[in-house]
Amino acid sequence: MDLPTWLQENDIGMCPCGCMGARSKKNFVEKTLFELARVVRDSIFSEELAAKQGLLQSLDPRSKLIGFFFLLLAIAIVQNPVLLLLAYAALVLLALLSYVPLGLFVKRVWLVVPLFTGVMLLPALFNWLRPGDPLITLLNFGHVLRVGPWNFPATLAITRQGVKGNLLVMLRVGNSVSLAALLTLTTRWPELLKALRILFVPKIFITTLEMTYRYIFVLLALVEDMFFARKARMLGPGSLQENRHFIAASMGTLFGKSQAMSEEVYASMLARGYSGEIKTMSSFHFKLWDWAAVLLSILLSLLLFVSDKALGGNF
Amino acid sequence: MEQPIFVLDQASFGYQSDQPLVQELNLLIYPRESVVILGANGSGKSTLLKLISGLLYLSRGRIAAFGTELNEKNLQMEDFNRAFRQKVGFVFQNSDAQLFSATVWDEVAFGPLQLGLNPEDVKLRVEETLALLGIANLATRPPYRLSGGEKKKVAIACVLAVNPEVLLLDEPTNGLDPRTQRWLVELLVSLRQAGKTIITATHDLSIVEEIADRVIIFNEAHQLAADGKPQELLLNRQLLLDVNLIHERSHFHILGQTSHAKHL
Amino acid sequence: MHIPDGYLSPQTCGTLGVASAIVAAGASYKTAKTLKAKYIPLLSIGSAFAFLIMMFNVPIPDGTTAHAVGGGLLAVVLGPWAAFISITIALVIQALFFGDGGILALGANVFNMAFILPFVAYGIYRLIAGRSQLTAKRRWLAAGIGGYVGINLAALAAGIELGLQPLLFHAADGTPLYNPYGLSVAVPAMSLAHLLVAGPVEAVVTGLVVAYLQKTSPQLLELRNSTANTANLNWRKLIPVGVLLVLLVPVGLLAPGTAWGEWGTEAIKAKLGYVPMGMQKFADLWKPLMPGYGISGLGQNFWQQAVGYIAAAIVGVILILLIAVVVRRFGAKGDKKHGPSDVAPRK
Repeated sequence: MDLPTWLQENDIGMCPCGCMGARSKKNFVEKTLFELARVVRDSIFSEELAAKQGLLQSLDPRSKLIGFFFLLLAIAIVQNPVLLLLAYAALVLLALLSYVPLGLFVKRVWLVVPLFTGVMLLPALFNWLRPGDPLITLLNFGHVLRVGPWNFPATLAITRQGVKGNLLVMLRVGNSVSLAALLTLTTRWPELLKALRILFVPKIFITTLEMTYRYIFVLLALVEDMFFARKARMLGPGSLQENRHFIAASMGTLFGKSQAMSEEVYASMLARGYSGEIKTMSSFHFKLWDWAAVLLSILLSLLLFVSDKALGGNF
Repeated sequence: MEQPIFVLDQASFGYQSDQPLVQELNLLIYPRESVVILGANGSGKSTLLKLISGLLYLSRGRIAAFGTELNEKNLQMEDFNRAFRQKVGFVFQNSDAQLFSATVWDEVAFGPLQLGLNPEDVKLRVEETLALLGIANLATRPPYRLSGGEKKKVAIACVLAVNPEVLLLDEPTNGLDPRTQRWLVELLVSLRQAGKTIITATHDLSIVEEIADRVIIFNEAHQLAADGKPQELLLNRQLLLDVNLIHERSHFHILGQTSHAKHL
Repeated sequence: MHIPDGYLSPQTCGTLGVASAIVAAGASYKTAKTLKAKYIPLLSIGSAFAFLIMMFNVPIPDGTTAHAVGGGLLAVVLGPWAAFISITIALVIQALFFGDGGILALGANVFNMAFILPFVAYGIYRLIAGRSQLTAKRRWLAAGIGGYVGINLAALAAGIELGLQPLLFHAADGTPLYNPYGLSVAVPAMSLAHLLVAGPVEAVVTGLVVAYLQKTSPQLLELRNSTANTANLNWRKLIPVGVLLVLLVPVGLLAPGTAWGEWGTEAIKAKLGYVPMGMQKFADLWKPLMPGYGISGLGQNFWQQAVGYIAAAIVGVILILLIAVVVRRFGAKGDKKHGPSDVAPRK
């Protein structure tokens, strides 16, 4: 085979001019690749944690799901920050007993929550946005401020209600995220999906969910290939238009391949006896320990709710 | 003489009528035969397997399996569908399309469950099949954490789990390392000795001699070019060149001889 | 637009959850009927597709990137019902496994992103595209505009849901219990972000992908016909459901605001007058065991009594559990677990 001359030229240096150029910041290709890798990493990580012999791992996924649901509900209702702190302490204890690395468990939540929730809630501290009893007065203008159609009170202050409300929401978000993390880190994902059946989710929906879970990873590999190929060919940052066309083309290609894949999967299901209704079996096993766990978590949720009422949301 | 399992009579298939993928094919396949279908890419091998397994329906002609015509109407009948699906197992070329369940265990259990085995038997069957193929350690793994070779083993396990009489394999050695290829050939040989009918579509000439007692060759016009013993056909270099299966300078080993390129 | 847990009251989540469940029932009926047996593989892979397009980082003019929901795109290629199911499943997986969006808030997120977004986008797409050719320029423009309007209405809905929280749920002293921003802040904030950034991204992605499919594989754009034809015919039948939703959701969102947490110690006392008596007995029983719990004040307040009662029950369950463990330890010893992980020798 005769190769054209341009294909026969070989360049040994890193780049023709010998300079390495300035480091460019993370672009959309790298960001996407990073996020795709995160999905795989997270799933492998929880797969490994779920295989350990900890407290939560020993529970049937269904009992865990019921228990966590009630606790999540209690956390959403409780108004007393002290109770929410106590609840968080209990979650940390559960994490310890289930071999969830504590540093990661705490960091993952408390580095992220203040950054997003905290910043978003920041303005709500001030009386200009939400009136309340001033806790710290920052500025005093002496007269009502008029800015266009808006009137602002004479003083800018951080309100007691603002502090309390923000604290409450942050604690709630943190608790909810931690609770969800505990559930998914200690349960094998396919089993968690199967366990959804007890929440009256129809079987067909669960089968679809399970299969989705499976094909996310197949399609993910495809997307990764497309983005790696793009990264390998990327000489500069590329124009906005070019990049968007690449995104559109890869989404379009992905859709075409998904469609072809679904046809093939359908054929392979037919070949194995599928005739419109999937029959499944589960090997779940409710033990005494599971009943106890369900009972305990319902009681704990009630305790949170009732204590909150008893304390009347004061602290 | 024994009744054939599959009878194809003037069978033609194409998505568009002017572009047939299988053209006027006459073919009989008997029980316990081990047939290899050879042909270049796009010659219609996979299509033929899909027709035989009742996944595609003919445009013209007829095809019958186990004495019953394979058409949409018959395959919609629950009893025939179940019996046919149990008897005919299909190992797809793309393992990712075949492995659609969340774990290996679920995957192998799928077939037996659909065909109505009770849960206790399914459990036993799955465990035995996994042990047979030496993949019991993969049971709880999700398919995306399997290597190509492991995926192929699981795909074969889920087909074997329903104990099919006929096994259809589409390019089974594609993308496998030499060790797994060897394993696969040995498995096919034992299945053949156990009395299974095996139909393999491939263009991997190195495995043909060991797994086939009959070879069918398609040309690029989607027609039957040859049907005979592997020894005869594989040594017919001109035939293999004509159907574009090999290149003038390809060489491969067969029957202890090396098939070389003629002098240039 | 993924609302995390903690911003919406359980009442709001519940109401929107019920609304989403009604749509889900309709969607599974619809798709099961039109897609028949292919239903499961098509929707599963459609959902995986939906999950992945939410992961694409789309470059925006300021040099950073943003994510698209892809709801408009899915509605155009799969039809609105299949799009609803695909996005819902993608949201469930995101919430459960990746902490994107809350678990209790799932109903709200599904309502905004899987229901409002694709249905609005689809309606506008059909309206503008009309009977134009499959490959007409009008089609991809229609898809882009549909995506833009769809995501903005979804954001508006999210803004309203969030903005209702401080009005309905606050403590006696005015401390907001959930999202602190009222309608006058939440709605403009959500809308502005979506009108200016997320909306254009959604529009560009939807329009460009449809244009790409027109060029390379127009047959994929016809897929929808198999899923949407009947949906189209039955729009009328859906009107009552729509009316029901329109009526129910605001009522549900607004109604429980006054009461829930407050329904009263009085009412319960009146109804369940005998229970506190029993609780009192239990409290007396446990008092010597749990001095640290400060049960001395019990009997004055229903809730305080209940605390003692439930705490006692928890101690009870733990005791029973301990006894069971001890009995098992010293009783049957041969109860071995067998796992599926025994490694078989390889050939």
